[in-house]
Amino acid sequence: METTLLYEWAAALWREFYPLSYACSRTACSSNEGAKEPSPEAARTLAATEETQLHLGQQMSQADLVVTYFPSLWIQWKQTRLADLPFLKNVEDFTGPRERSDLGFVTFDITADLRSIFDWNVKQLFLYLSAEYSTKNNALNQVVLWDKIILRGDNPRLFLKDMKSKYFFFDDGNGLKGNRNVTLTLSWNVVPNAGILPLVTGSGHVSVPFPDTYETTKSY
Amino acid sequence: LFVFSSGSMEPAFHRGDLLFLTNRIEDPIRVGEIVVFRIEGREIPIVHRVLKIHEKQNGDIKFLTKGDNNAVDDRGLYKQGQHWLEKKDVVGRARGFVPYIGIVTILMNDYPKFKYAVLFLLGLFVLVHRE
Repeated sequence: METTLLYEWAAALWREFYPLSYACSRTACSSNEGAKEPSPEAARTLAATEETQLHLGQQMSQADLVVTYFPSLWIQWKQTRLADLPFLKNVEDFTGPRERSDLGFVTFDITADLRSIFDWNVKQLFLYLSAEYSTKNNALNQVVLWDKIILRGDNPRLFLKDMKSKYFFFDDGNGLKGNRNVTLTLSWNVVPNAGILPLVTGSGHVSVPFPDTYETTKSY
Repeated sequence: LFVFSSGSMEPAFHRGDLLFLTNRIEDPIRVGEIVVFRIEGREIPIVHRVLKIHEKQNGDIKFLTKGDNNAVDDRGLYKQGQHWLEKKDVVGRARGFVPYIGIVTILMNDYPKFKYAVLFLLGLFVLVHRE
């Protein structure tokens, strides 16, 4: 265990002082240059995939575990327990127009390694999970389900489990019912000390299928 | 250009930071973007992040915003009966920023004595320099 920590600490120091050793800028990453394969113990402590891929409830075999030095993320919506399946209600949004609309409930896990996005000019990262889908009423809908501000110096590795959406997932109408193509993506807004404010979208995404019926009994 | 006068987007932007904006109408409005918008009947524009969008096939869009540092979305700030913002309310999109620069204008607004002092010093400077 100690050698792993020592390894990681040395690797972190290396990255701080020799940023060219890993080929990742704030906005884009190339997968091959500089990516090293460390010892299996180090790999096991940070379960990440080579690209930003989303795995739906699959167990990753040992062969897939490689520590990579560019932003990797892993969103998994929970389908292992019946209680965690996404479900719907049809209620009035008391803050909005007075009609009943679909309200979605999704539970998710997020695993993300954001170390390589932080360079000398990054003050903070505004990370957000958004759901994108299409309905009869609207060709494009995007709803932010969850967000987090990560300041420089905060732990850039997230292992969030059993997360519930921070904001109400209301549709403009009843378009979530039976919608099988609701896509979740993780994106981030880089806030520099001074300069451009880029908005980057992680390259993986997950589809959340909503059921055809409304849930009357339970809530989160 | 825009200078922040409130703390609703902290810790990203503080009072006095200067924001660079663009206003290309063809840029689509998407969640996560920082937009500057004006509420009908109010003078001061607000800079917040887009939380939710619903866009129709023909491009008509309605969206909701929220300040990073606020607990709730901006519906309470909109006009009475208004639940969404539209493209016409948008004044610009945030593209870049420089910190602290605008603090001088804020100090001058908040402390009129400071403004007079600055003007006085500027006047002195001009007089002295002419020699």
